Amino acid sequence: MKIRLDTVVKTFDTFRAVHGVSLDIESGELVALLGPSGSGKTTILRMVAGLEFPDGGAIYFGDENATDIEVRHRGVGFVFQHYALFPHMTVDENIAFGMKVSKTKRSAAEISDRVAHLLRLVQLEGLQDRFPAQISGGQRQRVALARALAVDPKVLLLDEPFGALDANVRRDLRRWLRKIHDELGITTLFVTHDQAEALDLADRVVILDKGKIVQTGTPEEVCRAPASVFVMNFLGDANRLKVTVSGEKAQIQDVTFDVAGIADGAAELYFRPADVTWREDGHGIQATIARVIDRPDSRRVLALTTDGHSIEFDAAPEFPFRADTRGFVDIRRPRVYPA
Amino acid sequence: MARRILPGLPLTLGITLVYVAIIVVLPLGALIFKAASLGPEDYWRIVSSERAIASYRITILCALAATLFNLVFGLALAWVIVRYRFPGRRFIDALVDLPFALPTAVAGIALTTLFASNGWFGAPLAAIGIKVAYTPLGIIIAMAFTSLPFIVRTVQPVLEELDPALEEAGQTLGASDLEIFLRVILPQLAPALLAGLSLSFARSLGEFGAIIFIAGNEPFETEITALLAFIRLEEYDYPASAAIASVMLLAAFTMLAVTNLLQTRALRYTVKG
Amino acid sequence: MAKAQARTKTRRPPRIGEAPAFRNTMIAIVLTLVALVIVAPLAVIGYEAFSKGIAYFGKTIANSDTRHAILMTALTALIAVPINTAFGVAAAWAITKFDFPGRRLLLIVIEIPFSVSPIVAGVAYLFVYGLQGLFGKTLQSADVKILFALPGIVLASMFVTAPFVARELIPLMQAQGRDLEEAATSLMPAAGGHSSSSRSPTSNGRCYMASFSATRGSWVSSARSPWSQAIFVARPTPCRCISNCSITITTPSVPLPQHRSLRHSPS
Repeated sequence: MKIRLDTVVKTFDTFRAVHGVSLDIESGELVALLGPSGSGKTTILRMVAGLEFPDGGAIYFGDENATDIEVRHRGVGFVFQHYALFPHMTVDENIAFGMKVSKTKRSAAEISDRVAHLLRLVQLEGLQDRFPAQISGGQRQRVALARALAVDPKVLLLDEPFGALDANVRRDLRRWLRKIHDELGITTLFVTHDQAEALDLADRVVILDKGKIVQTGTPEEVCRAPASVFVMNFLGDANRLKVTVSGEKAQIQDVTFDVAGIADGAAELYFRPADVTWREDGHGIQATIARVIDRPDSRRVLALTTDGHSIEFDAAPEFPFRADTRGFVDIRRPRVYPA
Repeated sequence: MARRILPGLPLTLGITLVYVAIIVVLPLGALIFKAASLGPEDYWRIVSSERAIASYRITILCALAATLFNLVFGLALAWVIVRYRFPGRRFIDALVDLPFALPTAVAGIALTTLFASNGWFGAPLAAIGIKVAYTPLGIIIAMAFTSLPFIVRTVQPVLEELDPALEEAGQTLGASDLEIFLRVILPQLAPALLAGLSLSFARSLGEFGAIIFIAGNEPFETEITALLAFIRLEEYDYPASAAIASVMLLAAFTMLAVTNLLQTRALRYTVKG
Repeated sequence: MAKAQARTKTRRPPRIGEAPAFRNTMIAIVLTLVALVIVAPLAVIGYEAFSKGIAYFGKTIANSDTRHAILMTALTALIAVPINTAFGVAAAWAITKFDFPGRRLLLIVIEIPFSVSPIVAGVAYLFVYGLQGLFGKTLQSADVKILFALPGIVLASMFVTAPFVARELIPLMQAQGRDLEEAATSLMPAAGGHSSSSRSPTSNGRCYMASFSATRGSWVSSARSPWSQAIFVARPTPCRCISNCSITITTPSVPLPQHRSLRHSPS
């Protein structure tokens, strides 16, 4: 099912949560809505579900205008942030709930077959008689997914699906959710504030800030070409250097960068900590190492350029230098944005 | 056995035990002691006399009817107060406590005045042939009035704290409002409802002040057990009074035990496995 | 997310039971029932109390029996409430902050006065302090009068109002947990000079509220009969307190039905 949002607007009492968002989600696509809290991502998800009505614009499911369709007739599967499992029902009963209340009448045998199938799919065989309070967070998450899938939804919507889980469980569940999506091919939209999660899982990432889409693209596109300073910073650690652009060239000390398409004047140059090579002599920006921090797979080096900018970069664990060493910083893949 | 370093267990526990011993345990113990002094045969003769049995029947049936009324009305009242915003909501919320705040004797007099054959409600009801005062219907009304707040006040906080996401989950799964109410909301109110129901029922069983004014107090017809105990007391038949009171005490204990059991069962799903 | 749950003036899908027709019907039914079941009895008290005019009302209130009854009620409350409050705070503290054998049993015993008929309590007290009771002979020889006197009224009031303060405080103290107090204990310089101020202000507030409701409970208990009625008030507001007082005061002016007077107790 293809989903289309056409200049959707949502205003709450106190503030405007979503300002004219337009978005196309292809059938079978797995899309992440990524943004900091307050960016409107959850509101967009809830509007797609029908749990909120937009104040302006329209939402299409395929060719059908779904804007005013009630949530219960919209045919979406929704996984809530804290799962919202029915606490008084067993795992079995939770999963079967949607089928039991469905207009499409199913026999008890049909329902229990499908529940068994879904339990296998989410790898929870043997837990069907437990209550939600008696299983782990990761297991609850999978029950919530099975419950949402049980009604054959046209669209699967997940609100911060891994937000409440431990780091290890999160990573496992991410891979597993991607596998399930690939098996079922169901159009899926999920909300997260965790860029690693979005990049890891999604076909396409929609980055939101203050109720607006700031960039849409594949993980590769948004990572390699962040559209703005916000996206650059939001996706990961970034170093910033103030530069002056003149004639599509930016200059720091005696290093020159090509910056096609940037107007003359003050600008900011960004680069990732991994895009730096430290040299003892030769080409680069002069700097002094201030501190070295050890990490499991690398060393994070904090350095101060001779003109007073502090920068951070990653080096191999074998990086031999210590504080107070002077040298040169060689920057790859710099991004320049007008200040 | 204090597992924490907080101060004051001996002091606070001491105060509590002394108070409970003097105020609760001693009198009830004396009552049981007095009833036990009767000997089994006399005791049985008194508590199983025809008049006593008739009073149990009236008390229990009326209490059941009153509790049933309160179940429906109390639940509706709690729902309206919690879920809707309308002018006068806070006022209604405050009024709910009134039956608690009113001395039951005052409630009894007020209800009798209302339902007497020349009263505001009594006169129109009499015109269509319904007699309330001095009939079991009057007992039911008095019981319902005095125990109404129990159900509202036990259900209300639970209803307020219900996670809206559960209802939304029900909606996304295609359930109708009625289905969500019956399958999602009501089961979660069940423990609180049970607690409220049993408190309401226990209170109705023991109610005295409000009922004696409106009931007519005709033996075998509208005489409640509490009144019978009181009459025996007035006749200086202390052992008989003690025997009947002990039956009421037993009923109260049973209610407490049943409530605890039902609540544990209703909450079994919250127990971690 | 908070913003998603914020109430909105704009279009919002209805929650369960928010369909206008259903909503309005429910409100109408409930308001009607409240008017019939709760407001009417209150109105009839006020109406009857003043039906013979202000002067008659004033005369009844000024009547020495009435004045005495009101005085007894107030006195009972003044004695019972501080004792009940101290007990309630102690009981709630012991039950929520510690584990000891018999904790659950204690909790049930404290609840008993809620479900036991006031008649049973009255009869029970008779068998402790009455002439036929456990201490009857001793008390008589010492010429101490407990039943059919103020001490008996106070004791019976204490029985029926005993659980109020503890009941109000237990859930609160449970929610508050032990951490705050433990922090206070560990930070306490020497004695406990600051312990009361380091307890959370909500606890102090609720404490006051609880004792307030207990006050009302005892206050409204009828002083004229040893079978004082339990009054449990969950959420006190000044408005209701005033109404209670006026009800208690107007009580004696309502004519008592003749068929059974409660005023004569066996003596």
